[in-house]
Amino acid sequence: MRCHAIIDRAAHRWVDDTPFLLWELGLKTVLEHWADTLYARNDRLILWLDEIDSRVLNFANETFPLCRNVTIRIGVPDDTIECCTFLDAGGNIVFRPGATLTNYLPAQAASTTWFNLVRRWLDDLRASGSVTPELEEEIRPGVFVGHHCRIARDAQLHAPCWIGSGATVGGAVVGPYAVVGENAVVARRTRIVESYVLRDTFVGEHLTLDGVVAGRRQLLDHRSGVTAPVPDRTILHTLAP
Amino acid sequence: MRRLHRYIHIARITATANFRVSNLGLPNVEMELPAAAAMELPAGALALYVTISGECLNRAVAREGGALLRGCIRREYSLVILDMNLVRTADSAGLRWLARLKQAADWYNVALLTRASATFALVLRSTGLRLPEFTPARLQAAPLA
Repeated sequence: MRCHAIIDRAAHRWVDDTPFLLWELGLKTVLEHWADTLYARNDRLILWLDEIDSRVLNFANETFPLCRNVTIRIGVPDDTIECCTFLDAGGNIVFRPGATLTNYLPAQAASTTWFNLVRRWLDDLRASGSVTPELEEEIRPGVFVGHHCRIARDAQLHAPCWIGSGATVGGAVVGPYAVVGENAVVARRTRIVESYVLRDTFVGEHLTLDGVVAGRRQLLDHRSGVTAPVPDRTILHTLAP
Repeated sequence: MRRLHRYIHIARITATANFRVSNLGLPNVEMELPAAAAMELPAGALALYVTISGECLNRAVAREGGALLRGCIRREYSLVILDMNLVRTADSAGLRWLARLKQAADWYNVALLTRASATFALVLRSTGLRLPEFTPARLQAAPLA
């Protein structure tokens, strides 16, 4: 079945002007996660953008070059559609058969929907294990760690949590519902709960990240959508060039 | 309102003053300061309304705030109302000054009340700094030493 998603790109942008569909979700992005869900149902995703977005377009063409299970079109569907797909407030990917068109995000902060997706992904990981065990290892029930990580002995990892490849975690508390992105560094005595540290981010000592997304020298409260710049490199810094 | 330095501005709350203070650079955000009598300030006690007009609570602001810190240590004021509604973020020097101000206020029995913008409140929350907040309504019943 072909599932149509109506994408309004005006809103829902965060750091580096990244479109919502390309926001990070573990090793993948929201779009890949969405496409995977459809792939499991043997469905195809057709994204209807209101205008050309080169980043989404390039990403889709590079990521799904052969299988074409994600197609991008511009405008709105003119003929009758079989099924509409969107993300609900709880972070669920919903499929609604019929011709009714629904915007891909409900009327709430995009960051809230995104973090609910992250929560759901962590819950699924804990319940059914990783689908890519060659990339992430479950060292304790619900605690997933990638390759080449350096984790201090006094670090406390509470399930569910996910630590990406190449990450360094000092004597910090990570979890529950925490994600440390690939190549991120978390200094000691920092507490990360219900939060997401984006990849290539340094998080300084003695911080309390609760309900926060940290990265690109910004903090985002995913419940309210408020962002705050952090100029101090000892608090938050980007490690990527 | 007296301009202490470049980023810090102070107004003294006296027995008779009952004036409106508008946040510098953001004139639509106004707050009416109650007179000292309304706050039941003891005779001879001094309260300060301090506003910070810089966007970043950094080393420069912290340096200017040294006078305020010394005033707290000398117990020159009974109440300090610190309005950081215009501040968006802070660096470690600014946060250290704020933490010292809170510590001095605790040690020397100076009531410290603060207000922060939503953005700055997020930074404060993430750095684990908890400050007693005020709203204009709550100011009427400020806890005095």
